[in-house]
Amino acid sequence: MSMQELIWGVVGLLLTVMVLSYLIGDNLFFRIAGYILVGVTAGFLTVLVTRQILWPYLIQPVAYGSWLERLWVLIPLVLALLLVIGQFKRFEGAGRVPLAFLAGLTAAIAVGGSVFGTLIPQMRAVVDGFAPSSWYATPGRPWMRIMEAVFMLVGVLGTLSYFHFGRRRRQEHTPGDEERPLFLEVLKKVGEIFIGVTLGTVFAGIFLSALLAMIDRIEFIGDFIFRLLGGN
Amino acid sequence: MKKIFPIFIAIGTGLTVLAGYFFTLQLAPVLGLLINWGIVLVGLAGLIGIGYLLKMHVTRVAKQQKGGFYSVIVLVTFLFTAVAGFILTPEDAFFRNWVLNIIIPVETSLLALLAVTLLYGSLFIIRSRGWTPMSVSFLASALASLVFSLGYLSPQAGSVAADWINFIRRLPIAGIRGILIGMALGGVIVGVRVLLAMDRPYDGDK
Repeated sequence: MSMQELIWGVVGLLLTVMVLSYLIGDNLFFRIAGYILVGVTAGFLTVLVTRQILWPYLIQPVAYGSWLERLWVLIPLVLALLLVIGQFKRFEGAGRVPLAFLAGLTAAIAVGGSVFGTLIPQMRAVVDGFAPSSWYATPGRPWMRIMEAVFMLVGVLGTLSYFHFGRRRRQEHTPGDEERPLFLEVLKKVGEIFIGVTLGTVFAGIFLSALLAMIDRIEFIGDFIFRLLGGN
Repeated sequence: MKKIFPIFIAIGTGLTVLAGYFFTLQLAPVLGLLINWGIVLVGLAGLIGIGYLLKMHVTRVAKQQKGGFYSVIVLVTFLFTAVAGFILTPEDAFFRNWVLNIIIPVETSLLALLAVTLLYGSLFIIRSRGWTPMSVSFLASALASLVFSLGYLSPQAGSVAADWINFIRRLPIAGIRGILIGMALGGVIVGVRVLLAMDRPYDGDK
């Protein structure tokens, strides 16, 4: 084991033990490890953002670019300056313009991404399950494919109705107003089961990942100590 | 004018990007430019956020508030990482070792802690939530997923058992689809409200 491997190994071992010490309760060592992570991550992000984003997209074109490139960089440069100036209480209003630009950009990307990336493909996937050609596309029993398509449709509708909180708009408030239509209530109950099934699977996935991480850390500690004691 | 100008910018930018979905070839250069500007602003906003974090820690140290010791740790590790990153490069072996040998062990160990807390939480779900359709289906599904992931249940392909196992394995997709469609609908509604200036997150007043 080289000196460099030894030093970084000891750092990794100490930090692992410090974090895992939380199992016996919140303590000084766990907090120190947490704050070290915050400081290093913030520093790393600062370096990355400056070197990978601000330098090539903003500073480099201004310093070394042609006149045309400088002209195009003028707008983000002004927006960036307004964003920085807007952080001072006296010039709060200046920050609204770059934030409005970002809000418009992200809203449009969100709308486009949601419609073309999620809504249409997911709805198509539900409907495609009812196409007779899909029942025979892969070897197996067609009636199971039909059953699966029905379950998918009911599951999607149930999940959506679970998150439906709408009420009928009425001029006068009557006691029955709080109740939702019966079919929505039934669908909601079905949706509850499907959401439970989905969250259970997600939970199992996260649990398995976390378990693998724990095995990895235990293996790292054992392996490092073994190598430290002279094993190969 | 002070209020209208940001609205004009938001709507103009949003509609241009939306138009780009339909006139991809014609608007590709403009979209590239707008997205590059957005990347610059997001990066800068990230740096401003880090600045606020550091400001909070500096204040805590200067005013000798509770937790000042931890703030010193944050400031020292931040300064060391940032200076090392600027003097060396992110590709430098020492810098990579410094960052990766701190971030990976701490984050992996935190994930390992999550295994214990998740197990603990799942044992108490029935006590806190009761026997509801959701809690029962949650536990049954989690258990089934864990059993399936062991890999012992692998009947012969084409058999009835294989079809049923595939069916059970695909059941969570229905819920995921429902949640995804719901999230997408929410995204569309929020996006359209911003584009119509009904919601103005950039405006302090509304």
